[in-house]
Amino acid sequence: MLVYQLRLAWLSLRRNPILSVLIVSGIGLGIGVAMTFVTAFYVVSGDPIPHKSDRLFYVQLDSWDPQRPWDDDRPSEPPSQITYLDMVGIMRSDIPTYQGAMHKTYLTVHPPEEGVRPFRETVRMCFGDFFPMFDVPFRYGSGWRDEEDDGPGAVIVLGDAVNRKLFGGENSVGRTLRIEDREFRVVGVLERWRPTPKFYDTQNDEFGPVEEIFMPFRWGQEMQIGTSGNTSSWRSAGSGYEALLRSETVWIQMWVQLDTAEQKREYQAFLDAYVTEQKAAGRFQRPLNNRLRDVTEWLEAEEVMPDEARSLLTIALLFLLVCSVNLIGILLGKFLARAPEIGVRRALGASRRWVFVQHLIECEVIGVAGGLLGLVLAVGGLELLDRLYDSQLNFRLDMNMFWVALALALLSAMIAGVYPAWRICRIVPGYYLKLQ
Amino acid sequence: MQIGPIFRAMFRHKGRFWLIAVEVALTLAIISNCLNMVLVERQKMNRPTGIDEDNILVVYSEPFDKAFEDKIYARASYDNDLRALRGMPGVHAAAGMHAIPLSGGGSATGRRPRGSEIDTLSAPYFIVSEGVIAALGVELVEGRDFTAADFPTPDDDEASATAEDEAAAEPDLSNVIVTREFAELMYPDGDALGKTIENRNGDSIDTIIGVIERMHNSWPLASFAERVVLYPGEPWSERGARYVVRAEPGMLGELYTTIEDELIRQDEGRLIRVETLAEVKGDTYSGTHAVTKMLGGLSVLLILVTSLGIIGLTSFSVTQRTREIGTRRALGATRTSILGYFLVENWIVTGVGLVVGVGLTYGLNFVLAQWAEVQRIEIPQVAVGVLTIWLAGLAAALAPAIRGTTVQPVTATRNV
Repeated sequence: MLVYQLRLAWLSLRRNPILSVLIVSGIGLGIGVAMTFVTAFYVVSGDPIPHKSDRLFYVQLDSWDPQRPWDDDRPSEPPSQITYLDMVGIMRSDIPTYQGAMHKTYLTVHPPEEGVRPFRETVRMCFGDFFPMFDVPFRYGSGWRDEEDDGPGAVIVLGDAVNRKLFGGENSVGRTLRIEDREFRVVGVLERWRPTPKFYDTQNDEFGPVEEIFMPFRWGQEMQIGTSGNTSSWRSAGSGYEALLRSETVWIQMWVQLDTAEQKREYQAFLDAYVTEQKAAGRFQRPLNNRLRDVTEWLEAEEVMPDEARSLLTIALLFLLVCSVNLIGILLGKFLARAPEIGVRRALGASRRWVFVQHLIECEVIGVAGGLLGLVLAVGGLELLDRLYDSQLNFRLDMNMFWVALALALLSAMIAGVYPAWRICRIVPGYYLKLQ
Repeated sequence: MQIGPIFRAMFRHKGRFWLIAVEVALTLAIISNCLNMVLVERQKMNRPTGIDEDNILVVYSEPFDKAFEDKIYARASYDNDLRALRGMPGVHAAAGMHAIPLSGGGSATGRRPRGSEIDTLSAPYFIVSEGVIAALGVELVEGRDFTAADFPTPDDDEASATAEDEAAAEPDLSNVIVTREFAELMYPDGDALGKTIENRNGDSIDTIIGVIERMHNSWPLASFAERVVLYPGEPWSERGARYVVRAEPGMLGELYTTIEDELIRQDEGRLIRVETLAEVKGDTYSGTHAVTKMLGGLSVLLILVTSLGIIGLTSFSVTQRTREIGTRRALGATRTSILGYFLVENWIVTGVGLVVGVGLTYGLNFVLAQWAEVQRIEIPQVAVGVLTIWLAGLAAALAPAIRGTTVQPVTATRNV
């Protein structure tokens, strides 16, 4: 029976192709707009690294001013970065599976070709563990080993875009590149990587582009080049790079990977012991307040999701509602126009319920078609959004979004079709039979 | 025109007209709120910055030559750059700044009135060279501009002063120029000129020697955008320098293309980047701009969709009542009165929809205010929404209504 009803639905749509196209487009438009903003919302609020977001932790220590909290509006919050002294102190631990401090800076790159002027590029100074910790995808080569962190070895990892710019996109592993006044050897080239949001560094541009060059952290000290990211301090630091390293200025982001609950407990205990020890030395005059937040908790604490994403999502879903309501009238007209035919069916024994279900099925077929059209439109819509935001965000439709689109489409078709289907199933067969 | 029959006729086809009313109500709620959000964002973007943005270029010097690691060399390069820039034809004024206003990047510290007990307040600041007032085009309304005497003599011996050294030393004294908003923040009685401000430890004491009417700091979209403190000093480092160059009227385009070459000519060991301040501002505003475009686009699309809906329903309504129209015409109704009939019907339905819609508008606004920090809507926006939809609804109903007037009286007599 279902097959028969589906066939009837299809025949009905075919009978009036223009009207059918109109109705399908109506739903398609609504779904297209809704899915564009549902996807955008999902992308900016979602988990950028779902398969291990509960095993990656951001470290916070409260080394801040004893007289005033880090954030007056949220006084129980510790600072959002750590000092150099503390980085050195806590990286002595061997508890985490992976660990790495990092910051961003700008360095001058000298292209290999003669005569091409040098340019400044964003660089992430980090430890070798960065790559396995964040499952960074490599196209060629790999990250550097622990020994290179200590050296520091003159090695770098290049991002996809800068590799294209300097080496035409080829496998540049093993080639050397002059940065500032030193030669560095390329050990790896990344695939195009755009975690959205850029969760590992929410201090600077949390939806901004990933850095194009990665270099061992200790080169900062070798080259006496500090961070160009966010820095804050509550006490005068003195001037110069060495003074920065000895100061209470916070400028470093610290991530660890802790795979088991026990590991986490151990590491928390380690942090607490470290801070207690520092208190004895006169630092850390605020109450003990060490935090280990996983990716989701950290993003929430940093309030990364923009408010606009919420208001646009609301507006887009209401838009879909209006499109559905719009269709009620059209469907009403269409169904009632076929009242004579339905009258005959009813006279021949079709129940009211059968007629109702038949028309709902027709609506859902329209819904599915509209949903597919909507997904196509959403691809275009996301492309537009991408352009509006300068391709910095990774708006991508995935399987989850496909199911959401389908669900929304079926729901809208239902909203649009329930009343017309109800109206048509209640007609009195006799009236229409006589009207012939 | 008799309203009674129109009402009674409408009651017979309730469902259809409620549909239009519901659509109108929803559309009003949505576009009024979109209008509200767009206006709030635009207001933020249109705030005057106090700076002559249209005539200013931002120049970045990014050294790669090792020579720049020597402070003396770097300072000489900086002084030379300013001299060269000021000597270029078409340049009205040039100055060095450690960060650029409107760019989203800058510095802030804490200051409070000297001797007061309150905690320090956030003080966004810029370290600047001489001539910054002229270079930015801001209006100095009290006091005076910086002179050479205000600038501290360069001290190259303290290459790595430690925190302890600084704590033991004398307090840092400086003359500063602030914006009126900051001055009033510190001294609400409006007599900040000549008064001093300090940091929490009391080891930095600044005397206010000038007040600017208005200037935006690095964060023009923030609520504290108009707080600025200008410190005379050395806004360069071994990593480079930033300059603001104000062009004579009409000379911006030419300078944009010639500055890089001129500065490279002065010293080849660095990269020179040039941007217009308008471009810098545009980048800072781009996110907000994108949102207003999206809201605007959605609103237009929505009005279109609703109009199509109204056209459809009115058309259907007219077709359904062909016989009735014919009967009226046969009984003597003019074409105009038929048209009037349908239009009045449309107005009643739209009117009901708009009334319900006003309630929905405030409801939606409440939800958005709670969930997405949207500002409360005000009557003017609702009024504009009402007017727009009323007109759109009217325009939509016009074509089918006119078609209705073409029904011939003879249809009253036909049975088919």
